[in-house]
Amino acid sequence: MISAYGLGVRIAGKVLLDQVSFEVPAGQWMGIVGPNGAGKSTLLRTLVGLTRHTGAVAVADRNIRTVPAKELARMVAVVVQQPVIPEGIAVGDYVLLGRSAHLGLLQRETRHDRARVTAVLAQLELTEFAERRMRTLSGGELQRVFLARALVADPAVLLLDEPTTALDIGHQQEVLGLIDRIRGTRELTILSTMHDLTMAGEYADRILLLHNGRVLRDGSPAEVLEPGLLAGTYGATLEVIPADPVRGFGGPVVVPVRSRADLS
Amino acid sequence: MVVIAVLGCALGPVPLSPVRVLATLIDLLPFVTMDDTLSPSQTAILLKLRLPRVALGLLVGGLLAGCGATYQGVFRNPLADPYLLGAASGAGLGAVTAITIGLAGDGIWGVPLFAFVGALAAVALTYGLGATGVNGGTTSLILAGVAVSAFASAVQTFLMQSNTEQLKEVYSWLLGRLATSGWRDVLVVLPYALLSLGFVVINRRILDVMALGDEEATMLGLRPNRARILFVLAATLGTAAAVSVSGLIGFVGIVVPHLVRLVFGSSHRVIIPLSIIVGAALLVGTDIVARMALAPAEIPIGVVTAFLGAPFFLLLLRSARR
Repeated sequence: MISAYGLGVRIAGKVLLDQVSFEVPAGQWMGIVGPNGAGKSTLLRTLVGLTRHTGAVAVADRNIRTVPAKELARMVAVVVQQPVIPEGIAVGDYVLLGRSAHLGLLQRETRHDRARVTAVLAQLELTEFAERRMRTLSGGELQRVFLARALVADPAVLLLDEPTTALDIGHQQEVLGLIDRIRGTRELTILSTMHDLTMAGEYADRILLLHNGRVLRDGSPAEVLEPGLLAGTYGATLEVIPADPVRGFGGPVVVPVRSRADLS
Repeated sequence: MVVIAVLGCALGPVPLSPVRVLATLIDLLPFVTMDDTLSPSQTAILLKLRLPRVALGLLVGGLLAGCGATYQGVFRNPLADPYLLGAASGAGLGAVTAITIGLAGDGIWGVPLFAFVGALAAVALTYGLGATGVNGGTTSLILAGVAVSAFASAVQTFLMQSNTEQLKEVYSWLLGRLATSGWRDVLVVLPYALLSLGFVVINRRILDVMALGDEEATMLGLRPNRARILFVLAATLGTAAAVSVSGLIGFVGIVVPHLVRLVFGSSHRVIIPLSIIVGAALLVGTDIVARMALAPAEIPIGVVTAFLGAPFFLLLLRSARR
């Protein structure tokens, strides 16, 4: 559904992405992990053509350079890490902005656009917030609203940049569970950058590990969440408890531990 | 707005009864007859003097406030207004140029056209200078606007001093006025107003998309630079039209949108149309004050808006900071 072919991005002589390639089939959820500065956010921005890059991105087998901006926005929706919240805007109006890709110059939102907003708000259990101003919402509620704005565009691909970073573990599970449920209701391809490796393993079908702009490994959670590989990449001391469906671990559990050197 | 408009028709050196003004106006509509109308001479005052002045006030006020709200949306800066961006002084310079080279006489096209060119040049210059700063931040944009305004005013003053025979005409125009030569000025502004405000009102949802910043707007399929140019063109056209007939009337473009935003939130769906309506009503109201306060002398309306607007603006600044 969305593919990258030898993506390279360099800004001011610094290499941010180098030879990044992958193909994500329709309906798959790919988690993108890697240390700070690995190029995760740059990758997402490149996938919607926001960076000057070499290589190519294809969505539904079309090179995005040949796809008009509006059409691309209808196919790929993005939730950035820290979305801008216009002062004083109401939740319903904010979510309605997600329909922009379906509207041309001189066109106004139709009843159909508003119906989509109502439906998505209901799906994300946000109906009661529709008239509330964004500033009055909690972190978890806001994240659901951002998700709603992306979903009203009816995209085939959803890109999420750190969808759970600002949330406590309960709300992280709530948001990721919600995304997973939506994926069940219609075919949606998801690429999400994630910090929490255990969460990535629990929810994503596949994990892409980036380091210094390069793909270090691309595979199932069990293949990527490997103690030696992660410890080296992150410069961290950690343990990995293998996936154990009987005990309720859907994927490998990555546990950072205090380094032994500290203890002695 | 309707109430203020009727009052604007009624009050003046020859007071007319508001009720009868309304009755006379309704009587003018086809298929309706009212009994309690004004006398023929009063009707003449109403139709030839008061009504065009009120119509002009509504148009100019709506334009200034609507364009101010548009600039604020486009530049994502609550301080952007026709004055701070240099549009008004540019338009002023254009208009003064037109007057001094003697184009004002055959009026309908000369002054507005020169004003538009001047305003556009000033905004382009402001934008060009301001966007070269680090990140093209809004602060540098506003500072550039101040510089461009000052420069345009300087050139304008130079032109005025070297053409002293037209000084009085230019000066009274500069201070802002709604005194009209009947319906002519109204007809001059009307097409520009419809074009400018029409575009902004119909496309106002795009201003909400732009409020998300260029990156997110692009992700929603908008081309921010193209949209920005279109909105700036529309707002500048409107500003130039307003300035070319009424001179420099300050603070309407910044105070009205602020007031509307304070009360009704920040969606441009609401801000744009309400700013136009409130701006129109406010300017006609201010004009009443300008005519009545020192009657029979008239205070230039730009003086009144500045007198009322400046303290109000400071008040807004204070409350916004809290």
